[in-house]
Amino acid sequence: MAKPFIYLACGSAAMSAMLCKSRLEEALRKRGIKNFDLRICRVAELYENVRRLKPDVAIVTAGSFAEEDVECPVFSGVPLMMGVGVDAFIDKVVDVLKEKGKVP
Amino acid sequence: MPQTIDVKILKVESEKRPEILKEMGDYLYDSGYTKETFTNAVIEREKKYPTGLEIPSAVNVALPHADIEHVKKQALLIAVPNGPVKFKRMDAPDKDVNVELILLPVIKNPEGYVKFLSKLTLFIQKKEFLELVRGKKYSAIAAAIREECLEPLMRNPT
Repeated sequence: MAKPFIYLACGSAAMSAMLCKSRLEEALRKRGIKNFDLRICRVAELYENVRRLKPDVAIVTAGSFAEEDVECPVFSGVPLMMGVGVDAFIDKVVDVLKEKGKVP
Repeated sequence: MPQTIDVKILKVESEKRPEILKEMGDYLYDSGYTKETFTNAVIEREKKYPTGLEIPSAVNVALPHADIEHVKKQALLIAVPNGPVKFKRMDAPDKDVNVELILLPVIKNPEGYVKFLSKLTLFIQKKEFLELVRGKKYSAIAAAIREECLEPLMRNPT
């Protein structure tokens, strides 16, 4: 099974995306998902990275991305950032990963 | 070696977002934490990527910041404005949120700072902290953040 591949994007790739990444790692491990590829970029680079590298999910903490037509499911990372509603958030991410056959 | 993050609080007099950010930026520059370019970088970044967060169970907060190239020394600058201040929402930039607490992270080493932010984002939602913010207990706010979010990292840096 190929491992889940998730992009996290924020304005400068130095604060909120990193915070989200550390909370996401912890939450995925708690769900028994140990192998994953999490990458960080600036939102300005997200569209191109998604098109080229085709991650399963993108998590964004700067701006709203519906109108940007990113070619994968995009979620707001605010729950991860504030540590509020993390379980419900992870449910949504895991549902996408299941659909894509990345987690059992 | 645990990194240093100076936790500071500033009494701001302005009532509008850009003016408050300027006051905070000027303080940081005058105190030697940032380069001349920092204040403008924060104000411009906030326009492009707003950082207001609506937190239904706590006070709404904004986390304005700038890229590491504008920073000399790490800090967290806190401001509790006299009244609610309009910011745009991080997750919905076309919407306003009335912010009661502004936290300005001054970041030089993102990997290390994230551990502090991780504790900070949880602590600011605690009831005991909300009471300090609502009561505008300035020195207690900074002390509580130092004690709850920074000191545990100094004792146990992993």
